[in-house]
Amino acid sequence: MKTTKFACIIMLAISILSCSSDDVNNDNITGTGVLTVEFDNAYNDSDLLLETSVYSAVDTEKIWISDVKYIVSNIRLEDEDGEVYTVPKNESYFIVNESDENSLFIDLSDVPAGNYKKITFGLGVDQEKYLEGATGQGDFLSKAEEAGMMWSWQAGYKFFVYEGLYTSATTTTETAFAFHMGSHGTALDNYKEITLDMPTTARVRTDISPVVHIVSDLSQVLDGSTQFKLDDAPQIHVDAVKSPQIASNVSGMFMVHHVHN
Amino acid sequence: MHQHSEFAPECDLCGCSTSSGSFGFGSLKNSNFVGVRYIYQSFESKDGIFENSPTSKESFNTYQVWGRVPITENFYVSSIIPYQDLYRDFTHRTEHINGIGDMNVIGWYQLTFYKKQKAGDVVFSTEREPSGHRIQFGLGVKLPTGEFEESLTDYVNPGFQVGTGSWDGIFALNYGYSAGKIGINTTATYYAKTANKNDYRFGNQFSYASNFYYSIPKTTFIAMPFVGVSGDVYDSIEQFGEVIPETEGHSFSGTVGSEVVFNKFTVGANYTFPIQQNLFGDNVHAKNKFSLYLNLTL
Repeated sequence: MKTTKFACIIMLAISILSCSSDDVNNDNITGTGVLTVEFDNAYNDSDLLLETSVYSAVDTEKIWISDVKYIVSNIRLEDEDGEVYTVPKNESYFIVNESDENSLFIDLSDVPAGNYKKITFGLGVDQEKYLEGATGQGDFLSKAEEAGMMWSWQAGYKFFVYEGLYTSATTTTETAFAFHMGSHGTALDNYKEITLDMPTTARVRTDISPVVHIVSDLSQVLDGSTQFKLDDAPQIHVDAVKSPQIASNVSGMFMVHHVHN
Repeated sequence: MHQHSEFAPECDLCGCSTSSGSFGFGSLKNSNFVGVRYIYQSFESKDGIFENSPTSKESFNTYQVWGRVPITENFYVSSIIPYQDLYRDFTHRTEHINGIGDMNVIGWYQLTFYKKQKAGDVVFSTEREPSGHRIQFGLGVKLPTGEFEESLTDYVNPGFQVGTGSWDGIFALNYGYSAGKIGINTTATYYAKTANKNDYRFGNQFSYASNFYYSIPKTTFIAMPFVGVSGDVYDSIEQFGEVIPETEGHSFSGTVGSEVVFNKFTVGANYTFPIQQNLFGDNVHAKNKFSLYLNLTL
């Protein structure tokens, strides 16, 4: 009697433990879904706050940020088998603007259902697109003009805009700084592509819309592979030496923090 | 439009832990009983992924019907049926969920140890004298009787659920010793968890609790104050078979309390305070807990 009961409980436990989930990768994956890329701007480990927080930059410099904008383009997703989905080129140009909450979320629709492990995107506008001429830009040209992301058609797009005020040991009154980085017409190409690994898989399904949450650490702009002291140059717009350095600092500021499925 | 998706990883803090081994499955003396228990737990969690993200405060109220009934002399069954009433306070809003939680059923087999008879002793009685040591082996299941809402895993901490939605195996070991006025009661429990229908699998969990008590007999009642330690260790959460980073952790707590036994009733109260913890990349902090129970001895 006693042994029977004990045996029953053991059997019950074993049967429960053995009914783990089936291998989800064997699902028949068809159709398309939506994948959202979220750009969450940060400064070191803190959520970026415009116009309210003072941040430490290089040496004694303190900055107060009023504007963060960048162009994200040519998004590609790579799945677990190395297959790449490329978002149609003419639908793949976006302006991320910290002051506009909606611009921080990029919805990609018609993404083939799949298990994605990597994301690639461009920072700025590639020469191929630029060489399509003003009419080839579609409505992105007017969007960029409205957002202040163009110098002029000849000079080209601003890929990255970073503005605010700063002080330092030697500059004690608040002084404006502005970094505007882009390609210089066709003379200098500062467009860069960034590929990021996802810590977990983004599972696009007809009924699952993953969010790829990217953190952009703006502290890298002044304090990245190249260090910029604002006392040396508080305004950098078109600069054949410094613009490529800013471009590589900016391209190093992104990471996928996590993925929601 | 978009809800800003914040991410505060959390373990299976409520679904299982309120009926877990770190709170105990019965009274100090491990008698057979039916009763009711109230557990209050509070946590502070980061509502977001940044250092300067706001914190939220969680208050978990759990009301349980619990009991332990004998089947044979050495075999008995214990069960806990919880009702969860959970609050989560953000800076500008409060979330509230409630409902039946996950019940568990455990079958126990008791080994009682007897004093050795010394060679040459003359045995007058056929009754052997218990040595005071008892070991109980438990094997049970946690049922998915509480509702698991997948949407909650996306936007708030995944532990804020009335249930885990999964069938989990429970392996428990209880050791008790009493001699005269003092006694000790120690429980170690392992939860082997399975994935729920959303392919969300809370991390396996090891829970332990050990209490030392002292009996103070009075004319109409017996007071049994106790002190003890308890803790939980959690493995990482997995979804679709992938480990979700920063979802493992542990906590270690101290407990003080007392049981009072009069006639067939036992009233118990205890207060648990965290001593050391690291839950989920330190994004979750367990605060104080307390519980109250009233049992009728069978």
